[in-house]
Amino acid sequence: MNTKKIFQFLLTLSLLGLMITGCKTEILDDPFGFAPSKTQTPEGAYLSVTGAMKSAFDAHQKMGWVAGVVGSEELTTSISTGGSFLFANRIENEKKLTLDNSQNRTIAGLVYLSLELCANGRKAADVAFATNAQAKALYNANISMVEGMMYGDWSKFYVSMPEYDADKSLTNTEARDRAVSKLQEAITQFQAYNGTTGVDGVSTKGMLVDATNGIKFCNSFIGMLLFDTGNKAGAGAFLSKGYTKADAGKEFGWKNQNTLTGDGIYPEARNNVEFYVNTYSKSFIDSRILGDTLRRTPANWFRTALTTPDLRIVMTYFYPQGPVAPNPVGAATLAYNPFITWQEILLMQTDPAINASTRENTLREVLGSWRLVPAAINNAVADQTVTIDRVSRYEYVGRGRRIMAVGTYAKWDLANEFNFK
Amino acid sequence: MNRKLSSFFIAFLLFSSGLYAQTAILAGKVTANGEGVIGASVQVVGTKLGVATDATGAYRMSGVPAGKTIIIIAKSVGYSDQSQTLTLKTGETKTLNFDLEEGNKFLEDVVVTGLAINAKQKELGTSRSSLNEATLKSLPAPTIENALVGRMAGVEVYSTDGAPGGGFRFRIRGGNSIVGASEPLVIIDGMIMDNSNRNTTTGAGGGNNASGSATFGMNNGTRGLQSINPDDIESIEVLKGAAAASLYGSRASSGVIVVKTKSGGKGGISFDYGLDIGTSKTSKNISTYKRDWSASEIDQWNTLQKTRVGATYPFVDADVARWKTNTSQDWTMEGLQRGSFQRHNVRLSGGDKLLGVYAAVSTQTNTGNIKGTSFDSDGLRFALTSEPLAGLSLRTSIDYSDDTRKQIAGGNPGFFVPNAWSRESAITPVMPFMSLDDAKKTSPVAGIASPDAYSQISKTLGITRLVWAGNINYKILSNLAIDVNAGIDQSTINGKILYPVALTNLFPTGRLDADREELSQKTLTVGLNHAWQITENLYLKSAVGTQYDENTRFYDYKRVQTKTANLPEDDITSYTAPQLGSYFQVNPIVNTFGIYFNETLGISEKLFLNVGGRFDKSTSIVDQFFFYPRGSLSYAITPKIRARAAYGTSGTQPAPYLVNQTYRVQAGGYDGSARSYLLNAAGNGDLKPEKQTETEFGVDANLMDGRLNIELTYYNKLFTDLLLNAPLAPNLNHSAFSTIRNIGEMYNRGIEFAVSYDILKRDDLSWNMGVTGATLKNEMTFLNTPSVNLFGGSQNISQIRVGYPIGGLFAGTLTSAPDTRTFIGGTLPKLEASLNNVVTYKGFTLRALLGGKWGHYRFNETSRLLADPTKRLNETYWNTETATLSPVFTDLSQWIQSANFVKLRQLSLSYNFPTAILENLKVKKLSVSVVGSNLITWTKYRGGYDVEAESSTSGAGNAFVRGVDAWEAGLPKSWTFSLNIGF
Repeated sequence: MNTKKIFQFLLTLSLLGLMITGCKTEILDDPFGFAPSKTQTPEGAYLSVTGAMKSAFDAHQKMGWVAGVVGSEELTTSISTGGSFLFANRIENEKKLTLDNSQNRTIAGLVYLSLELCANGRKAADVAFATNAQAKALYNANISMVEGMMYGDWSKFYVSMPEYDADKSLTNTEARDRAVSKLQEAITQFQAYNGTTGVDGVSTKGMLVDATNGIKFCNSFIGMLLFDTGNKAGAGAFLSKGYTKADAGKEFGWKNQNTLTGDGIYPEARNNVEFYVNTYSKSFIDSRILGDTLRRTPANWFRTALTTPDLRIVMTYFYPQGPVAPNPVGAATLAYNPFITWQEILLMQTDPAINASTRENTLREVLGSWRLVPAAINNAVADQTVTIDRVSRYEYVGRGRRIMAVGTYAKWDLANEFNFK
Repeated sequence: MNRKLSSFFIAFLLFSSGLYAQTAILAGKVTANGEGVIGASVQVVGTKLGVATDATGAYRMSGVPAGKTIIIIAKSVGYSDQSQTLTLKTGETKTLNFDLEEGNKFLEDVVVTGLAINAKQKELGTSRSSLNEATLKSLPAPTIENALVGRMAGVEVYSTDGAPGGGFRFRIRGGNSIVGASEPLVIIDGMIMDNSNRNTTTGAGGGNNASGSATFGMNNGTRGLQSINPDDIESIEVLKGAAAASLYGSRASSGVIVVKTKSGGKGGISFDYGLDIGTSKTSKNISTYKRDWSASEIDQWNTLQKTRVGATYPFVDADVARWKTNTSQDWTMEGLQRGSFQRHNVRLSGGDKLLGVYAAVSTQTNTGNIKGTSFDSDGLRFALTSEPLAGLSLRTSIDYSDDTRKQIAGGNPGFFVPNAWSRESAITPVMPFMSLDDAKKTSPVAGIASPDAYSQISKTLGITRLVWAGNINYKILSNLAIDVNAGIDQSTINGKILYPVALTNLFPTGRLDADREELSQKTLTVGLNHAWQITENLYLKSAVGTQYDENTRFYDYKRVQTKTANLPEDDITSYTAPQLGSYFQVNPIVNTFGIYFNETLGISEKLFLNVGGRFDKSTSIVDQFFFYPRGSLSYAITPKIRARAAYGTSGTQPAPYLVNQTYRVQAGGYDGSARSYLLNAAGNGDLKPEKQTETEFGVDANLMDGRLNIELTYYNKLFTDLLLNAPLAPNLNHSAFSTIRNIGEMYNRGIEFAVSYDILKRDDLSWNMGVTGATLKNEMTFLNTPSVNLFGGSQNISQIRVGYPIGGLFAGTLTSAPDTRTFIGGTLPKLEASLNNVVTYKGFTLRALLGGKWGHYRFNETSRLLADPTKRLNETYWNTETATLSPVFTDLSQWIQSANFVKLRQLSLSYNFPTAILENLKVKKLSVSVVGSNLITWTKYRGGYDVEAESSTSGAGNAFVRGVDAWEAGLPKSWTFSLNIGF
C-alpha cells in the first residue's frame, strides 16, 4: 500500500468523520415557536405575563359562565345549545356538577396555561430585569395577582384540584390560602413598584400598571374570597381597603369593543388589558341579551311571574351605559366586565358579620347604580323580600358573574378529567 | 518387545526421511500493480496445502509435493485468480512470484439494498420483490404507482378517486402505524425522495408531515413518485419490512422502495421513441344506485315522498306524468367522463465507459375520468456516467418535471349526489326521472347548479420538481471501495382552490385559497465496502457508512373572498376580503443522521451470515442514537433450494417539534397589538421513534430445470412504541391535555408466496403462470393508556382498540357513542393474491393479471346514503322503508360488508416485430402493445363505483382509517395502446 493509497484511505475516513461531527442533529425547535429557555428576555417576560393574564381572565370568565350564567329559569327562553341547558339544569337542580368535563377541560387548560406562563414570566423577569427593580416589581405584581386569581377561583368552584407542576392535589382550603398568599404577595410588589403609568422603556401594554388600583383590587379579591368561603369576619379588613363608590368604572376588568362577528370577539380590557374571548362569548351574548329582552329588566328578577309589561323597568345587564340595541353593535358596548365591583364590596360589607353598611344604604347605592328610578328603589327598600342576598345574586348575574354566590351554588367534585396519570 | 520397538523406530525414520525427501519449498511474493498484496492465498491445487501472504505480500510454503507436476494458485479478493504449473525437485527451494490483475469478484455485486452496500441475492436472508425494466415496459402506466398495483406479494397499492397524477397509498405487509401514514421510504439512485402525501391547499395543518407521516388529507395528495417517468426506470426493489430495511433505521418501518433509473454507457447509440395513448372510464358495475324506474315505481315513489313531506310537497300530477317520460337518468355518472391519456417519450442512450449519456424527454397529457381532473406533465431527464480512471465510476443525473394537476375540490366524484342534491333540494332529492329544474322547484336554495358547475370549482396544483443525484464509486484498493451518494430533491407546489363568483351560495362573491409549499430533501451517503477472502471457501464482506439527510418544508397558506369585477379570478390580489385568521405558515425541518454497518460471512458458497445495524439520530426525536440491529442467515440446502431466516428492526419518526416545549406568539386585542405567549407544543422529552421488530423465515426453490420457482416467506412484524396523541394530566403537561406518546403495540403476521411455472417453454411458444400472494393478520395488542378513544372515518366507523385490527370497523346505531359499538370486521385483507399468465408466441406476448383480496370489510357509506328514506335512491331499499330515520339508514352494522373480490387487473397483447421486418424498416426495434387495466370485477359487494376505492376524507387526521366507500371513483377501467420504436 503506497502513500497515495494511505492518503486516499485517510481522506475517506476524514470524510466519514466530518459527516459524523458536522451534521446538525440536535433537536430542533419550531421556528415559529419559542422554547421557554430562550424566553428569559424582556420581551419573553412581557409575552409570558400578558399570556398568563389573557389565559387567566378567560378561565375566570369561563368559570363564571359555567357556574351561573345560564339558569334553569332561562331554559325555556334561551336559544343556547342543548348542552348548556343540561349543564345549567344540573347546576340549578342538583347543586353540583361532576360530569361536564368539556367545560372543566377548557377551564383547567386555561388555568394551567396561565400558571405555566406565570412561572415562566417570573423566571424571565428575574433574569431580564435583574437591574431594574421597579420593572421586576411591576411584573411580579401582575404575575402574583394572576396566580392569586387562579387559585382563588379554583378554591371557590372546585372541591380539590391537581396542583400545577406537582403530583398532588390541593384542597379548596389550601387553594384559598395559596390565593390569599399570592394576592398579598402582589400587594407587596405593587407597593414596591408604587407607580401609576408603567416603567420607562419596559413593555407594559395589557398589564395593570396603577399600583393603587392593583392594591385595591387585590384587597377586594382577598376579601371576597374569604367572604365567599365562610370567613366573613376576616373579609371585612380586606374589603375596607377595596373598591368604593369613588372607584366606579375604574375597577380592574375588561370591556368588549369589537363587533361580535367572526371567530370570537376581541375585547380591549380596562387598563389596556387585552385578551380574546372564545366563541361562547358570542353565543352567550347573542342568546342571553339580544334574544332575551325580558330578562334584561331587574324588575323581573324581583317579581316572579311578571306578566304586565308596564311594570318592567328598562335596564341593562351591564351598567352603566343605558339601554342597549338588540344587535351585535349594541351588545359590544355593554360588555364592561370588572372582576369585582364596588357594589359587590358594599353588598358584602352589609353582612352583619362585617356591618360596614346598612341594608337601606346598600340598596339605595347599588340599585341607584343600576339606574333604577327612585320610586323603584323606594319600593325595593320597603319590600323586605328584597334581601341583600337577592340583590347580590342579581348583581352577579347582571354582570354574568353569579359565580360569586357560592352559598347559592354548590362546589362540584373533582372532575374525572384530572385523574389521568 | 525391545527388538520389535527398535524395528518400528527404524521403519518410521526411514519412512519419514523418505517423505521429507519428496517435498520442496516454495517462496515468493504476490503483487499487484507492483505492490505486495496482503493476505493473498497461495495454494497447491488439489491439496489442502496453502498459506497466506504477509504484510509485504511475501509467502513461504514448505512441504510442497516434489517430483510431480503441480498447480499453484494465488487468490485475493478483488483480483483475478492466477495459477502457475510447475514441477519441483525434492528438497528444492523455489522462488515463485505472482502478479495479480484487478478483478470484479466482490465489489461489483448486485446492489439490492439501496444503500452503498454490495450484496448478492443469495447472501440475503430476506425475500425480495422487484420489478425489472422488461416488466415495466409491459405496463404503460402513467405513474410508478399505477405500475405497482397488484404486482408484488405483500405490497398493497390502492387509489382513492382514481384522478390522474396521484392519490395512491401504500401498505406493505399491513398497517404500520396509527398516526403515521404507513408509507414506505423511497430511495432513488441512492438518495431519499420525499414521497409524502402532499395534500396542499387544504389549509388544514399545513404540512407538518416532514417525516412522511402525514396527519391530514391522506388520500388523494400529490407525491414525489409521480414525477418520475416509469420509462426512465431500470428497476424497482421493495424492501418490505425491518428484516430487510434495518439499515435505513428510523424511517423504514413501512418498508423501502428502491428505484434505480436508467443510464447510458452500454456501447453504441440508441434512440427510442415511445407513444402511449389510452382512454379510461369509471366502472360502476357494483353500484346500488337505482337508475331505471318504471311508471308504477315512480307513482309509488311519489306517494311515499308526498306522505313524508306533507303539505309543502311541491309536485303535482303533471310533474309525475312528465317524469314517466324520462326514467333512466344516471346522476351518479354525471360527475364523470371518459378520460384520456397520451404520453410521448424520446430517449437517447449511448456512449461507452468513458462517457455514457442517457437523455429523455417526455410529455404527458392525462384527462381524468372525473370531470375537472387532469394531469399534464413535462419531464426531462439527463444522466451521465463515466469511468475516467481505473476503479473510479461517476454518475450524475438530473430529473426535472413540470406538472399541472387538477382535482375537484370536494374530493370525490359522487359529491354531487349526496351534497349538491340535498342542498339543491331541501325537500326531495333529484331522482333519475327528474331534471335539475324539477329539483329546483322544490327549493329556491341556490346550491351548486349542476354537475358541470360543480366541476368548475377547481383545485389546481402547479408542481415543479428538480431531482439531482450524484454517485461516486472509487476503489481505493482492489478490495476496498468508497461509495458516495448525494442528492437533492427540490420541489414546489403552488396550489389554488377557486370557487368562481356566484357558482355556489356558500361563496357567492367567490373564494380563492392559495398556498405554496417548498420542499427540499438533501441526502449524503458515504460508505466503505471491504472484502476479505479468508480462505478459498470463506470470505467476509464489510460495509460501514453514514447517511445524513435534511428535509425542510415551507408552507404558506392564504384565503381570500369577494372578487373585484373584471380582475382575474385566480389572482389573490383580485379579492378584497382576506381572511386574516386563515393565514398561516409552517416550516418543519427534520434532519436525520445514521451510521450503518453490515458484515457478510460467506462459507463455501452455501451458508451466508449477515450481521449489521444502524445507529440513528434525528432532530425530531429525543436526543440520542437509536440502534436498529439486524441479522440474517441464508443456507443453500441444495444448489437449487435455499432456506433463509432474518431478523431486523426499524423505526418510524414522529413529526418534528414535538420533543421540546415551545410557546408561540399570538396577537391580542382587536388591533393585534397586544401580543402574548400561548402554548405551541407541550413537548415530550421522551419521544422516540415507533419501533418495528421483524422476523422472517423463507424458502426459495428453483426446480425442474428452472421451470418452477417457488418463494415462501413467513413474516412477523411486532410494533412497539407506536405513537398516539394520548391524554396526560394538564397540570403536569404545561396545560396541554394530551401529548404524542409512545404507547401502542401491534403485530402484522403472514405468509407470502410466489410461484412461477413455465408450463410451456419452446423456442416459439412459451407460457408462464405465476401466483403471488400474501396473508395478513393484524391486531392491536396494547395501548398504555386507559382512555384513548380513536375514531375516524364517516360516522366514526373506524376505530383503534386493543384486541382488534388497526382501523377495524365497529358498528352501532347512527347516534350511538363510538366506544359503545361492536366490532364487525377489519379493513386489511387477510389474503391478497394475483395470478399472472404470460404467453409468448413468436413476437406476440399475451399477459393476463388477475388479482383479488379476501377477508376484509368495507363501510358501504355510498349505499347507505342512497338508502336514506328522504332520498330513496338505493335499488333495494327505495320502497321498503318509510320512517324518516329507518333502521336501514341508521343501523350501521348492515353497511359494514364483506368486500372480497377478484379483478382482471390487466390484459395486454404486445408484438415485437421480427428482425427481418426491422431491417427493412431500418429500425433497431419496434413493438406495439394494447393494455387493458381494471377490466372486470367479480364481487358480491355492491356499493359505489369501485370495490377498492377509498374515501378521500377518511384519512384526514386519521391515517389508520381505510375501507370507507363514500362516493370515490377508484381506479378506472382503461385501455392503452403503446408504440416503442428504437433506432
